Amino acid sequence: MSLQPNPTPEPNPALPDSHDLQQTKARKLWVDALIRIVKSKTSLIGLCIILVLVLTAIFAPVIATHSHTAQDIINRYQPPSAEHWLGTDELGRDIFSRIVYGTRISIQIGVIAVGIAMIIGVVLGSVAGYFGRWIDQIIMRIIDIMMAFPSILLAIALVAVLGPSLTNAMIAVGIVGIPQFARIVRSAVLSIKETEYIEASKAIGAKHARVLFQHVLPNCAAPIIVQATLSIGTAILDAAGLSFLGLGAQPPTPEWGAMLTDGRAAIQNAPWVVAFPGLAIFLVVLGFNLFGDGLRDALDPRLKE
Amino acid sequence: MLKKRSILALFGLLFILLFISACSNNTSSTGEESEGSGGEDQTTEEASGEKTLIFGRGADSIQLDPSKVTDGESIYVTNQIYDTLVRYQEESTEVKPALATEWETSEDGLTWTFQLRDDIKFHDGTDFNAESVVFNFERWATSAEYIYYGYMFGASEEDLGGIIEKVEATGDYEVTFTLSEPNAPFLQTLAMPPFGIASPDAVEKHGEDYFKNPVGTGPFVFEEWLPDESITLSKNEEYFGEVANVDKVVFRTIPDNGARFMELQSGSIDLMTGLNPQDIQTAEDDQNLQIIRRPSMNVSYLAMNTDKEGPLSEKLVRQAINLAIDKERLISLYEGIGKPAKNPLPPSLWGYNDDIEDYGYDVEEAKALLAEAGYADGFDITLYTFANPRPYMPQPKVSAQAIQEMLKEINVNVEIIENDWDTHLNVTENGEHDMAFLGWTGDNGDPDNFLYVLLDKDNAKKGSAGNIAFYKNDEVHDLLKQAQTEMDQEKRTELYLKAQEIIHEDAPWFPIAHTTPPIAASKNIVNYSPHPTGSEPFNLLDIEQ
Repeated sequence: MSLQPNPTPEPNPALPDSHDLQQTKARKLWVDALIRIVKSKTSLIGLCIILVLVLTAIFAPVIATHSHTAQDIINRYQPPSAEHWLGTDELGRDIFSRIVYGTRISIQIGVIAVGIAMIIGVVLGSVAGYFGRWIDQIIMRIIDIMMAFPSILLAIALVAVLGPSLTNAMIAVGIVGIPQFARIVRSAVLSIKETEYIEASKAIGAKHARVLFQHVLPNCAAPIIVQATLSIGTAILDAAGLSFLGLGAQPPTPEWGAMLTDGRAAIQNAPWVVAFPGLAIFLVVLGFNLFGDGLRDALDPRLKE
Repeated sequence: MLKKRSILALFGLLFILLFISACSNNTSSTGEESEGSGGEDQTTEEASGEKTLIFGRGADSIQLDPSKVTDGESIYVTNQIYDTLVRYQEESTEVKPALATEWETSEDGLTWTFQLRDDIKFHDGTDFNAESVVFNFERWATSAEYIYYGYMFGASEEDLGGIIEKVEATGDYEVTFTLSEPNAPFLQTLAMPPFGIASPDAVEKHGEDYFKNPVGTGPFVFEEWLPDESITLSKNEEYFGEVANVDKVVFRTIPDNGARFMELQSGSIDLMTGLNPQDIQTAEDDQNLQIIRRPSMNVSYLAMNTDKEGPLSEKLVRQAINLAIDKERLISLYEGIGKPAKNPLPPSLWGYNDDIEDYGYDVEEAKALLAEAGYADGFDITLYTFANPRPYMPQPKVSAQAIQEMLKEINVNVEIIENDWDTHLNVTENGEHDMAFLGWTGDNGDPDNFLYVLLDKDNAKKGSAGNIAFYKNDEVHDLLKQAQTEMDQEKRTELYLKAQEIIHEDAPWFPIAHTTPPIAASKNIVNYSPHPTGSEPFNLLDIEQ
């Protein structure tokens, strides 16, 4: 432990100037990150895909050419045409409109499931990392048990207990995502809590809660955000998998995984019924993965020029 | 420029992925080929004269003791292993001699005497005689777990024997049945596969495990059962009827309809049931395949649980639902294998009431009826359906979604609940549903087998209900009971016509369709004529080289 003056420009309640300095620094970090994302071609593509997805979800009623539930049984399995851009499905519903409305569901799944995973995971991970000892042991062993299950199997088991519905699928996917957040946050907290500015705030008598939430967690933001972005893609994929197995969205919800399983019977004769929802899932997951990777590189201080 | 390049790169990536997935398709088909190498062995065996029929189907048998099951997949196999006292003709439900060579009935219809063949041995080498028939009938009357015995002879927990008062061996090869009341369909019923005669020795030897070690007198001998994979039978050289043309029959379980069809296309199976309706055309266009249609003797329906408190207990509501579903549009989902149904009976059966006029599609009328019943604002309701297609209902899930959308027009909000087949049977027999899909394939060509099993109050008991609408009408019950004991077919017809009128008026069902279930087979399968009852012995079938 050093008795020399603290060389890091971290908060010191006695010096308001240095607080401003820290804020500017933080802002600069995010601006830098944004610039680096725009410069990196792959993450820019990811960002564009995500933007298109969000806009589609917001303006779904404007973009959709038909009602997403209206059936026209006589005109089922129509190939793509000017009237039905991506063809019609087994009940004569317009596939394009269903995919457009499906983006809303996918975004909802991604955000809510990752939200659940993040909140619980961050709390567990930071408590484990910050307090250490037996609390750490208990929490991390539980996390280890959860990680020992193949994630989709755990999700299936959870839905089997909760009953098949979209909400329960989101909860299941969220719970499955907890361990990753917990581990990432714990390791970040472990390294940050040894720094001298934490030492300092403890020394002036700050309470545990204040130290943890004011000083430790804000400095873990970067890895959490990266993990969240990457998780959204996986969450959408997992939820689509559950719906494909009939455990997620129930008819007539235009969830992409459910569309896949409904169109499966006709794959030889009407491949467009499964091809387009499949492509939609693929693009969205690709988008979040590219963006998440870019974000990770951009926020890594070691890669700074 | 750079952006363009990266977009190009993305497209390149897409193509690579498509290519990889195409390759993986190839590997999976080579995987099938490697399974098919088993088939190559068989071809070499064929060179030495051995013929194997590989039959692909969606689900495994539950038990190989036919007296304890009602599912078609079990009966398909046991129909090869066992014989009944009489058998159905190849294409109708008229009976012909089998284990019994001749029979006579007393004037009052209460005594039936059968002369049995004296030259038959069971597959385990023991003799078949009158005592073995008596043994089987006495066994079925010991417990309610022999389901079909209960359905057909009116047996219940309280009265395990039902209408069969006693079965006696009145000679070495003569059996006499004494009934407590006349039963018109009795002879037809004895031809049903569940009443196949098992070897008493084997039943006693294997006890609880008998269902895994079936021994009968039929054209094929049981060899091996790998659960959820395959069941292998070999031909019975000593068969008293026509000895089978093929040496082996293998029933393979391939759950996915599409995968099963691909195996048929690649030649690793010879015959399959449960074809996706979309694949019928593909099979007809394929030079190596043929579509064989099973004569229609079934019905699919939407049962409305009349027993549960709520809107469906009201006749007006059930009639409104009948009016609100457009049957024509719904049936187009059957892709040409179904004809609209207006009665529980299929039109190929005697006693069918063709004078009944179907409800027709009229949303306004339906709304008016709902308003009259006090449900102008509609209500929420569940519709239970099942995952796998059945012969009478090729697309249960899609059909459920179509009905969900149609009932929205009259403000009825349908929640679809999909279960697998076993669970679906369980929950509907327990009456947990509001509405549920189900269907029935006739067993013996008698109207009693439809109307009494599916719509009589005797069969509306929770836990083992055949009547899953839980429809209880005393007038219908009296008519059906009377028809059972009446021996004159013309009088019976009258009674069934009347019963169908009342059922139509009370509307416990929305009858959907009668289908001619398609079977896809490779072109070299000959002499195969599917029986209307849903299964048939394969002894006449042959594979042309």
